[in-house]
Amino acid sequence: MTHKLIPRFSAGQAAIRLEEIQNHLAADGSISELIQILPADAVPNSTGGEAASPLDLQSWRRGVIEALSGIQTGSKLDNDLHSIELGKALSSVVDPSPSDAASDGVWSFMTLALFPDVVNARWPAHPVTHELSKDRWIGRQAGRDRNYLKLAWRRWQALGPVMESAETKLGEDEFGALLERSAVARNRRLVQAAAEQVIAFKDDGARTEFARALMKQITYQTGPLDLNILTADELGELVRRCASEVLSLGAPRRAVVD
Amino acid sequence: MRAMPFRTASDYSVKFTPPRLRVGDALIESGKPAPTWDYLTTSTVVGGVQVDATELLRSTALDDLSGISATMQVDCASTGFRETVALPVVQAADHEAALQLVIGPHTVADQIEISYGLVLDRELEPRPSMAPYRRGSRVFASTQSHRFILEGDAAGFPTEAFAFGPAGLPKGAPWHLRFHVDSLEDPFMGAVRLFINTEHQASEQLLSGAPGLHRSVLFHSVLEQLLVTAADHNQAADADDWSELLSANHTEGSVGAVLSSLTTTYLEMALPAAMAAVRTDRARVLTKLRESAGLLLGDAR
Repeated sequence: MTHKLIPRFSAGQAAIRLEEIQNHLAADGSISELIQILPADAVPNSTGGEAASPLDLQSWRRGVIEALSGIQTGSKLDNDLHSIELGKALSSVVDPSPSDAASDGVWSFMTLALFPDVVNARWPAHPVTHELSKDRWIGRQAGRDRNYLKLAWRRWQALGPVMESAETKLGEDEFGALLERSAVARNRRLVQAAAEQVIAFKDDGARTEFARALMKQITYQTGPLDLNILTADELGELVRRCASEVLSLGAPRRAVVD
Repeated sequence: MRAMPFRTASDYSVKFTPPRLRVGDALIESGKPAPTWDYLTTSTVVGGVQVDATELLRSTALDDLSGISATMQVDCASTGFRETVALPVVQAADHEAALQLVIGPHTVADQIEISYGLVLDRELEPRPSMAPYRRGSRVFASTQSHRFILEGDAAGFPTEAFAFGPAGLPKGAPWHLRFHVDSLEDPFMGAVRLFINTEHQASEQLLSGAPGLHRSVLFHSVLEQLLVTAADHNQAADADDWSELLSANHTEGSVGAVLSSLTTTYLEMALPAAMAAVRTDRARVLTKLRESAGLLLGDAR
């Protein structure tokens, strides 16, 4: 494994940079003018491997942009696909060290310096206030742990193998439902088995509700049972049983606003 | 040990050795930092278990030890790493047996947490004795977990100082606390961050940590925001889940565990009751907090 360490922004640097981007976009500036390969104030972790060079960073940018070429954003389907392809591209092109990627400063740098155009395509400024979402553009350093690049990468890491074989892709909401219970989500095989059940669920309209109900049912099992010692087959069987129990209580329905 | 729908091992029947972390030649005790660890390091968690066979069988109502395994689980909340190693307890009957788990490079960060348990590792027939019978049953789950600090100073409150003006925060404000409750199981240190405004005249005093009125007000304000934020989370869409989660056992160092400790210390209430009280009787609860936190007494606690 030859992961290269990614430069980082501190929370203060990230907040200042977000403000700059916001002001630039509000003044009708172009997003492409904001791309920075290696700003002087972004530094990688001091130990633990080789730091990415400007050439590495350029190559990462080129690779990710190529992987996303032709992929639109806007509709739910487009957004779901954008997120999946982005996660896949970050995994294969950037291939962050999971240890390095645990630092939120890494994701702030990638969002606010290397890929602001990618994030802007999915999470543009509010049309009236011109504000950018702190959660999506920075994440945990300034708000909720929702950095767009980080979530896309994390989801691909956890569920990539399932996604490759799935005919109908998982949406952002379904990913959220599958991975939001962090203590359960650390059991990769369990989450992958649950994802297979969600993909197999036929009623597309209520798939997110089904995913939530299924994960809740699985979480109940973790009280008396240690699921980490079960084999993949046993986990698959347990998840199928939980799915049947959820369905036996009545098919999940999406809330409808009159 | 939490209540289970089957008989569980008594506290006297099993003894786990506090784990240690081997990094190169160094053997580090839990709770201590690991200064030589970095992303490239392969480290090993070394633990141990011993069971009193007679007492274990008596307390669980199981017939023999052959279906029981001791487990040692290593978790890293920051990277999502989880590995479990299991050892048949017949190997630990009346003498200590080692449990070891190797952690490869680039897999963990910040800190790792180690927890022990005993599980039933085979399927049995249900019996009137209430002995555990499902494979995976938690025959014993230790309530104590052990933590190794891999990076940084995990003991201090995460604080960062910068000028608020250019960052879009009110430039006359002395501080800003970021606290988001995504999950009660998230590490507290990752969920909270205190920003001090270097443009403010009180910033040096606040950053110095010296006891005084500034620190007293800051301390109280932080406590109040933590409690109110957590209490108001109940109004979110997943309110039912939230109430359940508040009542659960929380891993040491998690958001839930820290909140629980705060409500016990400063409000003399368990977490679920305290959260309900902050919602329904906020003025009185916050007055109580001002007293117990020593607000304006100049005593930084």
